[in-house]
Amino acid sequence: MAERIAITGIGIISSLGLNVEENLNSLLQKKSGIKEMELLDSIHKEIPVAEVNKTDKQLAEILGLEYHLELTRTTLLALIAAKEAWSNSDNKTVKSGIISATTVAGMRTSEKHYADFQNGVGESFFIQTHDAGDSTERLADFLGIKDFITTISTACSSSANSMMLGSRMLRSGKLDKVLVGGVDSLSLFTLNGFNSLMILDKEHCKSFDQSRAGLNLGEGAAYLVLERESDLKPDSKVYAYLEGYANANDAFHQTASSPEGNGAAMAMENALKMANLKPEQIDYINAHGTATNNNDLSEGLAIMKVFGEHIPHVSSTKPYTGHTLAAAGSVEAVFATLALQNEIIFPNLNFSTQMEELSFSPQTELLKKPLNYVLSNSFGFGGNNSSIILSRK
Amino acid sequence: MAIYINGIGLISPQETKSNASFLEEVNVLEGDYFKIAEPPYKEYIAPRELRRMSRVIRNGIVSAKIALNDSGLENPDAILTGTGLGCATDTEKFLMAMSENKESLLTPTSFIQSTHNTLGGSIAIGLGCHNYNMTYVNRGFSFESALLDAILMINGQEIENALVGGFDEMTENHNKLLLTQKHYAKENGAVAGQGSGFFALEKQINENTYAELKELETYFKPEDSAIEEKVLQILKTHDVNTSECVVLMGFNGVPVEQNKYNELRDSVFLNSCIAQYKNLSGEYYTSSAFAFWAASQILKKQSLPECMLVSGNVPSTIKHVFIYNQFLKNEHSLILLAK
Repeated sequence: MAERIAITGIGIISSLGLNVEENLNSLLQKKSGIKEMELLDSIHKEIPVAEVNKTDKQLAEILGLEYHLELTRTTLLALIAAKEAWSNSDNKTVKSGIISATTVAGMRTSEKHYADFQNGVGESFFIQTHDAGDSTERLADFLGIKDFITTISTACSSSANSMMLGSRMLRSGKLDKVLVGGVDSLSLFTLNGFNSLMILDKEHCKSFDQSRAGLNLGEGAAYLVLERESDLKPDSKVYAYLEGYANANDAFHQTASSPEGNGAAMAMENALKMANLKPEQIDYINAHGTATNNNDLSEGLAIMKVFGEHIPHVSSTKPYTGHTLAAAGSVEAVFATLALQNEIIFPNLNFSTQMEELSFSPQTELLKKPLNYVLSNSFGFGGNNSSIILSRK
Repeated sequence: MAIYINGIGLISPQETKSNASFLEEVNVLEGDYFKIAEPPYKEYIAPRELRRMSRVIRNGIVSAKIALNDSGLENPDAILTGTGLGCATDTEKFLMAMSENKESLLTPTSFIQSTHNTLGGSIAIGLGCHNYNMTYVNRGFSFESALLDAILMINGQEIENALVGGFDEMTENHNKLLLTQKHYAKENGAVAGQGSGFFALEKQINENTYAELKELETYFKPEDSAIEEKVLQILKTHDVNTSECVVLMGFNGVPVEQNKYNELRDSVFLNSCIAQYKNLSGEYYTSSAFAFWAASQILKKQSLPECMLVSGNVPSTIKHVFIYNQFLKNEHSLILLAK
């Protein structure tokens, strides 16, 4: 029997709020963070986004740090969420590590200066903060964590995957405590990238709706602290347990999911197997549910394949937060722990018509219900599909 | 649990595509950074696919295929890649197009291919491999993290084998940026390089086995004495006789980093044969994959190419290769391979 992994800290910043409490309140009040673009300097003002409504300087102020150019928005968001998650931890006595995730890293800064530099009229300082390791290493310095650090980038499943290596580091005894999660800030790079793929909705996204027309981009960071159950002290606060996880590859197309959702089904099945659970024991699925035509169809069919007659309550919280890319997996893992703790299923906003290919509709109202097991999906480019299962006790 | 390196593949600035030869001839540096000695891509990749692939993906696919063919492994239980920069060319293309066209009329191809896990995903599609697929992207820890995850999964009985690789590309534009940094400065700086190395790791030894992977440790900003202590501990744990050991260090011409290498050379490794590899690969985030390939070859072929020798005598029997690499004094890694 493998050692159980407990979640002993959570922290989050998103368009719903600057900490766990603010995020939970927005979820309960059905208040979406998707709005007209304010801070991102793009010509595409018609595209709604889910921004954290603070400037970089304001984010630095929240942290009590003096703002400078090498503190990228990505780093600042990561620091705020990680600080909240780590706040009950002292890393003096145990071996502690960080496994963070990001897709575009310091791009928000790089994209302002890159072309100017190459055209001979700009500076090169951004090269220090461009790569994916930068925010993780600053996080490590800020929290004083140094026994192990690394960064994962598997597109939109990145931070779900950080929980897998985190668990292995604990089970192998290499670490005693590990901060896992991810971060992405909105950037012109991703906005224009997804726009060129023509999968951005000009309205609020409609996950699992017959008339869905694409995703909204969001930004944020979320981190969780993982420890072995056997190391917990009697007074340790446990938010949830990580019972199972799996990553499977769709091996179909670089960006599109297979129509029948092979990789997604495999990820869910393997996570159930690891958790030693039957499908009917899952009470709630926090779906990837980006609201693109392709994702919601293949994810929906995969859910039908895995759960058959016993489809649990399903909802996507992307209509609240937008798609926060590398942060999505850990944002939704935090939401899953909040669902378990508060015995609440969050509604799938903006839904009106069931998809004709699916046998189920998402949960559209806030539902109060005791929950034992929550499954959370995160799928990304490169056919990278991940599922995690959390339990209350 | 023992883990064996049963297949290797490397595309680099040197003629490394054939594992039968081992750096008998050296391509010398031309220009500001090391360029790839490109393999005949058509022999490995269908023309239709080749057209769409950027250079870094091509080299990644070719090196992964060489490693898989070498080992006979067809469908690995896990595909793990490490890359510091990911797909630099496609990232640059999209950045420049965005700027030139003022965010209009953009095509998605370079955006799609700019993700760090493009190579991992492409290998999976090529093999039809639905298994665990992970990409690590933390500077000088990128390849090491992929390797570590594979070790933990094999030791934890999650998998029997894995394909693990490290890849990075260098471009004119990126090198222009690097040259403004002290680490890569023309005076006392490192010369940038690139490459892609893949390895088939398995629990079983076979007739093609290159080496056994004994140890992997990473250290982030370690205290001054920590590396030496750790080296001593690893040598003791694995009963390494330093006079039968080749030590492969990441000498890169940067004085502050050189000090640490020299210190170890003059203390714990006084009796050892000291070798280098960045004179052949250049400096890049995943250069330890080049070292890993070289170490596998050294142990299997029981020889050290002259171009790698720094000091000491090549042992008549090479029992171990110890790899020590660091990046900007921040990321340090120690890897021990045994015959």
